[in-house]
Amino acid sequence: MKILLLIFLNISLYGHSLILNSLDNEDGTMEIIGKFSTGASAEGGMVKIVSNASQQIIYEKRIPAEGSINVKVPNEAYTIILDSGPGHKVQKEGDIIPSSGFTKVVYKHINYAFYTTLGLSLFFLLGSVFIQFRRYKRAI
Amino acid sequence: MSVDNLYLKYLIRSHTLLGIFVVFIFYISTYFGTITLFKPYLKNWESPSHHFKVVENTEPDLDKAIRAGLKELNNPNDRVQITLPSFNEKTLSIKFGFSEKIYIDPYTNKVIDTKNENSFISNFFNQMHISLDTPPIGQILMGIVSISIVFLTISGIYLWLINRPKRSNKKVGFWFRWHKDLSLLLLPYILVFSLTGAVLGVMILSATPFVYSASQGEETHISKVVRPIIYPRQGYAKKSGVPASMQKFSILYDKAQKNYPNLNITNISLNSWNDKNARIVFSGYLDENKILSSRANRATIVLSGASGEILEKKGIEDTHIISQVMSGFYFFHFISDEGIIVRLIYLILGLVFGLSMIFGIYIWLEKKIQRYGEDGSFYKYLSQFSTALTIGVIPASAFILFIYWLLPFNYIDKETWLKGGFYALWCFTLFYSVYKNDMLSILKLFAKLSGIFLLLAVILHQLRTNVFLWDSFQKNMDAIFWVDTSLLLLAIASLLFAKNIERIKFLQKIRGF
Repeated sequence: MKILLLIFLNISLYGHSLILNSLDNEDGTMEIIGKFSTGASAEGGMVKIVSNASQQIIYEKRIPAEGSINVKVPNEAYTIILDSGPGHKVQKEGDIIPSSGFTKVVYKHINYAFYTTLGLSLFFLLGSVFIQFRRYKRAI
Repeated sequence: MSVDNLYLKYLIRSHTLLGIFVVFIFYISTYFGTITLFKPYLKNWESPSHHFKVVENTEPDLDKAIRAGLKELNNPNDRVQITLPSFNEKTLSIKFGFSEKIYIDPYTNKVIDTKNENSFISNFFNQMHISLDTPPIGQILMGIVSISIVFLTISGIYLWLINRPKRSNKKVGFWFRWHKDLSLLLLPYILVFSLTGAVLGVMILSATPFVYSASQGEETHISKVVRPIIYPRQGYAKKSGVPASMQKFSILYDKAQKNYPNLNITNISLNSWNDKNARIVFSGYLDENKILSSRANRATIVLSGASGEILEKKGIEDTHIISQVMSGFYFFHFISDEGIIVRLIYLILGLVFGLSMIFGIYIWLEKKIQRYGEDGSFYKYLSQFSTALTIGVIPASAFILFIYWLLPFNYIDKETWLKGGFYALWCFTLFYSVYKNDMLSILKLFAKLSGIFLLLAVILHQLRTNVFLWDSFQKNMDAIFWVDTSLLLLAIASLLFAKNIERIKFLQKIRGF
C-alpha cells in the first residue's frame, strides 16, 4: 500500500507543476504569485493578463526574484496566464473583482475546435466498429 | 540446442502475445522519434522568425548579442543561461530562471520577434514520441513498453538460436523471414533505443521507493537526491554585494577557449553577474569524446566575470560514473551534437525497424486470418486497425503540416484545431480501412492524401513566409531549403506511388489483409 502511495505521489510530482495564485490586497491591487510544486520560485516566468472580452493582453510582466508581482485589478473580466517556457504554462480565470465591479461585457469562449474534432473522431471510430459489426452479422 | 517443447511453446506464445500488445505503441514512438531526429530542421521551418539570411564564416558578436538578450529580460544577474548557435538552433538564445527563451539573430545581433510562435509541430511530434501526447502516464507506459521490447529482443534471439538448425531445411514464410532478418540486423539499434527508452520512461517512477528508503523517508523525488551528485552546481558563488564591472563576453570566451582548446563551447551561464563574485561557466562537448561529454556530462571551465581568472576546469574524467553512463545514454538516444549524416543513418534504421515491426504483426495476422477465414471478423478488424495505425499516421502527420500553415498564427484555438485535426484524420483512416476492406485501395488513398497535404504544406509555407525555394537556396537557409525540398520530393513520391500502386508486385502479397 505504501509503495502504491509512493508511486501515485510520484506521478503527481513528476512534472514539478507550476502553481499560479492571486491574492486580493484589498486596495484595488492584487498579488500574483508564481511558483513550482517543488517550492522553487517561477522567477523569469511571464505573467500575462488577458481581457476575456477582447482577448487582448492588457498587462504583462516577468516574475522577479521575489516570486510575485503586484498589479492593479483590471476593470474588465480577465484571465491570468503564467508562462514559464515549454510545458510550463498555467492559466486561471480572474476571480478578484474591483469594488465597483467589471465594466465591460464578457462573452463566453466556446472551443468549437475541440467539440468539432472530438465529434468527428468519435464518429469515425464508432463508424468503423459499426461497419465491421454489420459485416460480421451478414457473414453469419 | 535441445529445449523442452512445452517450454518452447510458452516462449513463442509469450513473444507473440507481448509483441501484439506493445508493438503498436513502440511503432508510434519509433515513427515520431524518427521524425524528431530532424527536429532542428523542422523547428526552423515552422518558425517564420528563424527565416533569416545566413552569412557564412561569421561568428556572432557575443557582447552585442548577449547584451541585447539580457536587456530584453530586464538585465537579470543570476541563473542566466545562454545557448550559442549550433546545428540544433541557428540563433543565440538567452533565458533566466524559468523565463521563456529570447532568440537573437547571430548575424545582426538583434532580438527576433517570436510572438505567436511556439514550435508546435516539433514539440507535438516529440511529445507523441516520448509519451503519446499524454504525459506523464504516456511516458511511463512508453517505459514499460521499452522493457517489453528488451524482453522481445532477447526472446527473439533465443528462439532464433534454438530454431536455427531446424529451420535450415524448412521453408519459412515471407513475413517471418523479413521480421527475423531485419530485427537481427538492427539488434544494436533496437537494444540502444529500448534500453534508453526504458530508463527514461520508468526510471523516475520506479526510483521513488528506493529514494524514500535511502533517504530514511525524507525524500521521494529522485532528482532532489541524485542531482547534487551527478549534476553539481558549477560556478555558483554567493553575491558579495560589492558591484564590479564585468569583462567583455568575447574576451572571457577567448580566454576559456585558449585554456580549454578541445572544448566545443555550446552553453554559457552567468551567476552573480555585475558583482565582485561574478562567475561565468562555459560548457560543451569534447571532439575526442562526444559520447562521454554529451549533454548529461558536459566538460566545463569557470572564469571570474570581474577578473577573467580561471577558477575551475572540469573534464569528463572528473565526473561521477553515473554521469558518464547517463552521458552515453543521452548520446545514443538524442545524438544532440551530431550532424546530418548520423541523423540520416538513424532515419534509415528507424524506417527498417518500423517495417520489421509491421512484418511481425503480419506473421500473426496471416495465421489467424488463414485459420478463421470468413469467421475471423475480429482479426480482419485488427488487420485494418493495424493498417490505419501504422500507415494512416502518415497522412495524419502530413495534415498537421498543412493546417499549421493554413491557420493564422494568432488564432486562439489553433493548437486545438491542429491536434484535433490530426486525431480526427487518423480516426478517418481507420474508418476508411474498414469501409473499403481492400488493402491496395486503402494504401492508394493514404498515399494520395499524404502527397496532397505535403504539397499544400510546402506551397502554403512559401506563400506565408515569402521565402521561396530559390530564396532559401540563395540566402543559405539550409534548414528551410532542405525541409521544403524533402517534403516536396516526399509528396511527389507519394503521388507517384498512389498512381502506380497496382503495378507493384510486392503489394499483391498484402491484398488479402
